[in-house]
Amino acid sequence: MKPVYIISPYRSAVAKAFRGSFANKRPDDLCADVIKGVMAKTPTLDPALIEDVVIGCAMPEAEQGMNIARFALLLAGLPDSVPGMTINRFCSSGLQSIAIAYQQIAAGQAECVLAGGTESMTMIPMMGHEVVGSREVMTEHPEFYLSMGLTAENVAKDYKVSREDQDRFSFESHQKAVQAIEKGLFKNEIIPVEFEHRSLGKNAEAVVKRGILMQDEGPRVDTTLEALAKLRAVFLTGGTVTAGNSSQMSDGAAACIVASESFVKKHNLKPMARMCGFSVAGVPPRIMGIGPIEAIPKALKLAGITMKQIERIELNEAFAAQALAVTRELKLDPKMINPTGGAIALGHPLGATGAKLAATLIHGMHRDNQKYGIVSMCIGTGMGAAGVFEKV
Amino acid sequence: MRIRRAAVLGAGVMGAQIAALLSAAGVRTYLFDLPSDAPPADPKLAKAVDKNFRSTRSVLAIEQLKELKPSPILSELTLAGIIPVNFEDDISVIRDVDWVIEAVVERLDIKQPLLKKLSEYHRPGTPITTNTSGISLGKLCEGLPESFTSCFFGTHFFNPPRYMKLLEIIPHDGTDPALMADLAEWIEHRLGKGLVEAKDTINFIGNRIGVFTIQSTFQHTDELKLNFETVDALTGTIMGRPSSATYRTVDVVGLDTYAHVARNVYDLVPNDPYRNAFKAPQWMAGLIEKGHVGQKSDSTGCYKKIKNKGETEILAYRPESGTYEPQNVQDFAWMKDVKRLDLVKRLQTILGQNDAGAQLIWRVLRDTFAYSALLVKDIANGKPMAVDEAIRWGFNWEMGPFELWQALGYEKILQRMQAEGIKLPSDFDKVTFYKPAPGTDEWELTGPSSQWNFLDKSFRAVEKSQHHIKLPTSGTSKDPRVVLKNEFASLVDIGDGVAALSFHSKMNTLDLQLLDLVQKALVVTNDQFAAMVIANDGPHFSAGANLQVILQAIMKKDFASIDQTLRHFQATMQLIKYSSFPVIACPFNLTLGGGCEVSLHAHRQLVHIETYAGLVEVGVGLIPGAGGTKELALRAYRTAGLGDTYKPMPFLQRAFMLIGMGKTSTSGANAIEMSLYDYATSTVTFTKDRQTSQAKFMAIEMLQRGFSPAMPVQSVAVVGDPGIQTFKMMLYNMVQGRQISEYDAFIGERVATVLCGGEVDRGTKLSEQQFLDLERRVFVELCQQEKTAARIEHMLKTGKPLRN
Repeated sequence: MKPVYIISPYRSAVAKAFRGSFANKRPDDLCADVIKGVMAKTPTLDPALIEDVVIGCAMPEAEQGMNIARFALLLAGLPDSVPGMTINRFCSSGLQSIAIAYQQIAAGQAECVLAGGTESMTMIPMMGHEVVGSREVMTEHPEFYLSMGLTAENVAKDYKVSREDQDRFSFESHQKAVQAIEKGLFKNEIIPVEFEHRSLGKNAEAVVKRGILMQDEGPRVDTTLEALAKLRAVFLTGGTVTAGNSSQMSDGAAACIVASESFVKKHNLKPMARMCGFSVAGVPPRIMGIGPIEAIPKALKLAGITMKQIERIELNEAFAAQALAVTRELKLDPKMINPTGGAIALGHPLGATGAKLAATLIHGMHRDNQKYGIVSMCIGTGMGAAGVFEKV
Repeated sequence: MRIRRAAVLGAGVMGAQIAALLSAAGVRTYLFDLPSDAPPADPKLAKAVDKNFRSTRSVLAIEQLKELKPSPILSELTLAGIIPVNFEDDISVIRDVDWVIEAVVERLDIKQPLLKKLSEYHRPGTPITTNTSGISLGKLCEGLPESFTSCFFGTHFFNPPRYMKLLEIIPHDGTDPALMADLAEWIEHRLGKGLVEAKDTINFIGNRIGVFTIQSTFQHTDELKLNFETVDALTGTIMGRPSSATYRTVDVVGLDTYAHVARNVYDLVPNDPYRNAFKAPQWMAGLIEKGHVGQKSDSTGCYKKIKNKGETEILAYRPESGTYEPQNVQDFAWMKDVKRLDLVKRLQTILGQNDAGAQLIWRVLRDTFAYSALLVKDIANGKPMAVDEAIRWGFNWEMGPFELWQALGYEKILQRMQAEGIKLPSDFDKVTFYKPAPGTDEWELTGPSSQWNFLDKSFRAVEKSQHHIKLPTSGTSKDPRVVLKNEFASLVDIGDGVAALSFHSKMNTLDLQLLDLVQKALVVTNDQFAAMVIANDGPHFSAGANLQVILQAIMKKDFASIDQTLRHFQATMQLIKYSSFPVIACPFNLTLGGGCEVSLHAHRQLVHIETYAGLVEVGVGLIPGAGGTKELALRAYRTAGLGDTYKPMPFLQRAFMLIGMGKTSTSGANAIEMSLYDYATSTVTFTKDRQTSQAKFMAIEMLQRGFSPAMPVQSVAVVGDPGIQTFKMMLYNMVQGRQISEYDAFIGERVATVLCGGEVDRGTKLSEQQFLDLERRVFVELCQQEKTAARIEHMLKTGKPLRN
């Protein structure tokens, strides 16, 4: 296979859903702003040479319907000649889009593809605006519809993850994220994005207040173990999964350029990483959170490297319970997992997450001079995805 | 009189609650308290106060209304209509309000200067009233200009003001009687209070007699060597009083607060021959000293709540040892037998006994009668009815002292009192207190026609409000207005061509015999009247269908008869809905299950503000089967049809939550806000006494506007099976999350089946009758489940729902 490179992986800061800065930012506009940012960071790339734009989105409807990839790229000012497609594999959509670009290029079917993800959880609720149950599923396999929180409870039970461990994990996620922000570690990977809020003024005129979000809104300086311990289980009466040890609902977007070696050389691009493997795997829907246990070894095998060579992992923290179960089952070194905090602190804008974690991983590997890293996440209805990256 | 804006001075517990009541009644209410110099230190409080930190006290008092139990919040309006202000910055607001209520701390030296300040801003002719419960009004307004004092009088609300009907209205010598009467009328009409005029004497009527009764009970407890819990068992429901009885009531009020009220009487009535009775007993002083003042002090007072192996246990105080011991209620031979008797027969039976329990009841009654007799002239303008109403409305006794005395046998009681050496005023061996209406011996009809006035020593006619239409509360009534009746309901001619259908079964539960009368009443109304009002003067609108009958059929596995019964119920409801004349329902208090379904099928609902309405059938393993599920479904589809795209699911989901969770409204306004009643057809009234009369006027108005009957719905496009599966998805997750039981989900799925129009294709068109058929199908299915039978049995036995 031909080597495939990642150029300019960037992301927006992640805003809290509903009350955050992007509450009124449409996901197509947000995605367009990030694409513009990526293009600005890649000045030697002629936009007309981008052969496709692949955007992941977990609930592609309403504001993020209408093939959002095409809308976002047009809004970003890319030429009409650049096509776009929206893809969906729930929480791995942002990584899947990079993987599709990687596969096209590796197969010699393309030279340069823009890939990323976007999601407004404020505007489109999980499961979409209109859920319609299936008779077949409800009769034969109701567990396909099990809520994500309850799957996390199942994982906690099956893999014996205690409430205390989940809360500690979450506390540490916040601590790491707060420290990372204080040290300015995310500055290099974030594209500042403008947002506005509109209200009615004294003379019934629309008053527009503008701002620029440059920093993630989720991490809490004031989180304590005691406060986390006091929260009640939200999904299961008497359970262990709380709002504090689950990922936050968020709005965000991320993107990067994926290109072949010859294209990189020809256009004088500066790749930050090489993608060396990607894999997805299925697991029982009732314990969807363990997906990475199957996906990570598969991806490593495809990449031709071993776990021992891995120095950094961005493991999406859908729930502390599943992140801990994955860490323990794969005997991963907790120190290399999410060194700057995870989704419990930083948020989880579903379809954007994969591309966002790729940006965080690649910039992190450069900062800490690490060679190999993984982005992985669990996926609703029981799947896992993993991508392996090498710093260049 | 029009009250559009009011000011309540003092944001204490009473002041804030009075403001809440006014606000819920649509009055913009300024709640005053002392100004603050800085925002509160607590950042959360500071955020709540925001820029209005000068009025922090009022802002926080409004916030605290949310926490109070029982809740003073009647509607969404309640909190929105109260404006927090302070005495320093906002006092000029007084010029703009239509009523000022002073409810600051009970101290003359604070109230007097405040009233003086108010007099500077007082707009002439605006009533200024005080909520004092103990300070003389004459003293309060001493030295103030006549233009002010003529507008000044007492409006004494009872706590909690939302729930207590009594409002004592107290003039002083200079009060303008016309102004007071105007406000009294407004209060009755708009706040629904029962007004009793009291004289400006210590603690007025309610608290003077009420506190005396408690004190006298303390004394007899001691003399008869009974323990607290036994006395509470005796002086609660057995005597026709609230179950909190004596000692528990004191715990709820707070021993300290209670002792303060009693002390106030003691200090200020030097010539009262019963003065010593108002001294706090020693044990009480001791408990107060230790800080054990009842509910608010960790539930330690006359009783103590403890946790024993996870179970809550309530111990009782023993004054002789100063310890808390497990309760030991003494049993008296007559206790079981008297429970099924009505109050008068019950007490008559008890008074024929001579054990310590019967003695206690006699002595407490005797003392209360004697004290009321002694004071009626001084505190109640010589009117026994004022005392009776004050005690009934302010203390929730079933009967006041005079009416009870008379009902028990005036002479008999008098002789026994005299034999025991009880001194009574000299005119007491000559009269009874009330005379019934001429030509009838039934008070039930219209109450007494005249009462003995102890001041002018003659029978005086009882003033009857034209707004109060009383309805018979039994099938044995000889009320000449009754057109049609059986044991369970009556149809009454209430004038102006309007008939009132009044239920009077036990708890107004519905069964086939009652429905028979309803059907006949509809026919008679169609022939002889122009409109119908469904209302009653019992304790509740209706507690729902008679479960006993359903359970019997289930036990006999006679499901065909259940189906038949349901057909009858549904047909009756449809007759109401599609009658050729307007039908107005008057829900109040419990309006549950089948009772709620009756009200939903009327053309209009005039909802009393204290209405606890709900389709609660799932609690007994059933669904609303008399058209209730159908009604909510049809409304959801109709509402969805107003949109450009037809999306019924969000509206069906609301209906599903109401039925599936068996939600009961927290007030009449809430019943509309939670969309149980349609806001387009329902209105709230605050006054129970006038509800029937108001409904009559609504019916007349509908006729005058040109009432045209509706037609049954022929074609509704339903969501069908995909909708059912969507609800199942939600239920599945609730079961998995252990939020509901498997059987709850089983019932929920059946609620969904009716709402969604059955297991059909999306878009299938159904008629109203097909929804009723679905309702019946599902109802009978549920009756065939053992768990439904278990739920019904449990409810009948314990009065509580079983979650199996």
